[in-house]
Amino acid sequence: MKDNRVTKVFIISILLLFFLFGVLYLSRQIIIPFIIAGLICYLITPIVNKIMLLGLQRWVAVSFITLLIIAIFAFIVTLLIPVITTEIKVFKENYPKYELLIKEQSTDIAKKVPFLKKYTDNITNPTENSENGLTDLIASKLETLTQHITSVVSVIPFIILIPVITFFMLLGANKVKESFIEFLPARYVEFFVSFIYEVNFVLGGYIRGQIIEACFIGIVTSLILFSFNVKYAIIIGVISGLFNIIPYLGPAVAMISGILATAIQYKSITMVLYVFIALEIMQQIDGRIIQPLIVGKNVNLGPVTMIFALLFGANVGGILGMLIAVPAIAILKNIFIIFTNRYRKSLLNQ
Amino acid sequence: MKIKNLILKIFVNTDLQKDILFLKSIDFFEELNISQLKKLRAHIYKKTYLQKEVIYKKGQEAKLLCIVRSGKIELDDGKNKKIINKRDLFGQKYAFNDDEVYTNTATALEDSNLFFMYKDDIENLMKKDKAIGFNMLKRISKMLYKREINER
Repeated sequence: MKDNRVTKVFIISILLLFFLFGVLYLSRQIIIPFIIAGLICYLITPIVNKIMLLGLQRWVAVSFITLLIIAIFAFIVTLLIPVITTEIKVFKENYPKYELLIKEQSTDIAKKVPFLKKYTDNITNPTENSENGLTDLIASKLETLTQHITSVVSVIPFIILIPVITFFMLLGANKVKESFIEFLPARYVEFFVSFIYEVNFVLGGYIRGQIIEACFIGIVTSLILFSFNVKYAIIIGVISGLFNIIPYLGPAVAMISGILATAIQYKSITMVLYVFIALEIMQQIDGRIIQPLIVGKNVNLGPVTMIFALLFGANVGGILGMLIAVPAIAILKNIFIIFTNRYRKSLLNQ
Repeated sequence: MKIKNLILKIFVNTDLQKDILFLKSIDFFEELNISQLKKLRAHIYKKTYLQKEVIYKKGQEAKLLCIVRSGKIELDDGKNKKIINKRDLFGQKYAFNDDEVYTNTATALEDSNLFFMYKDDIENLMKKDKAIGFNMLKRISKMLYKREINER
């Protein structure tokens, strides 16, 4: 009897999983704003509930918080965007210098290690048909990047959509939860309540921890690079902070970009060493003190799943998609595990 | 007068205050102050049960502490029956112990509205705000004392 039930749980869970991934895949073009809005909603709801305790209607609390967040966000953006666009402009101006540097280095390498010549030839003498030209690739990527960041048109959907979706999510989330519980048959109530509790427990810590960690890495990296007078400190800091969400790869990106920037600017091993040591100290503090303390339970995916998540995210939503995909899939995986465990427990206990 | 009421209704929502006042009127939470009750309210789920609907069965995993907001609930463990009225709790013995299963079946005698809390939520609440746990302890020991006196 109980064996049948466990099998039933297994089959239902697998079907649910497929259904979930099907829905995600089919809606992949539009789903990113909803994911971001969902995240913000999850983080903000406790604050909204606290404000409501003062005796206000939900829409008052939600409006107040949304306006506050928009204000804070606008403040940060107006502070950062000029700095970032300046840094990108400076990069574009200096780019011919770097191009020259790379070409010099590759001719050097070609002299010392002749058998690499055919690769470096692509760099030093880009042909007419230069689809493989490394420098042309970099140049074209730069163009699209600057266009993206400065283009008002491509960012508007995000800027408008995300706050709107978040606003309505915040407004309705409580009602959805209450109606769901009323609607649930009595024997599933305990399952649902314990499921919510465990999801909150595992994922709340994970999400908040990641955000705190990203801020830490971003700010400290920017400070380090800034104090060594490395250019592009803010961009590299922001990128390091964002990419920190990806395990293993994120910190590697941070280190490599920091070191590369120092190397290209100073061309001296000592400076690179200093920056490397500083960044490494930061990574150690992060790994040994901050991560265990704040991020809590390890919700990481295996390497294969992670690579799949990265590529899927990149395909769906570019860089933003890549960043969101890893935590999104980690969260889904954990929800699925908790769901199956709880379902099995509750069935076996009846 | 009507306009003022209308404006108040748009901006003000007293449901939460009413819930908290109700919690305050419960025996078990008598020693708690308003801010502690507010924290309690954050973890409360509500559900309405129709007449004859079963809330939990004997032998089911015990994770809920239930408060009757309205209506009547009957607890039946095969031998004895007990009726729980408005403002009473049931399921509290599982919340503070490690008992894993319910020892009785709870059925609604009439359409009832219940507040309930999840056992682990209560535990975390008490760990974080030790005053809540201590105040409940005061209350429980008072109840024990009264029961002792009654039995003499």
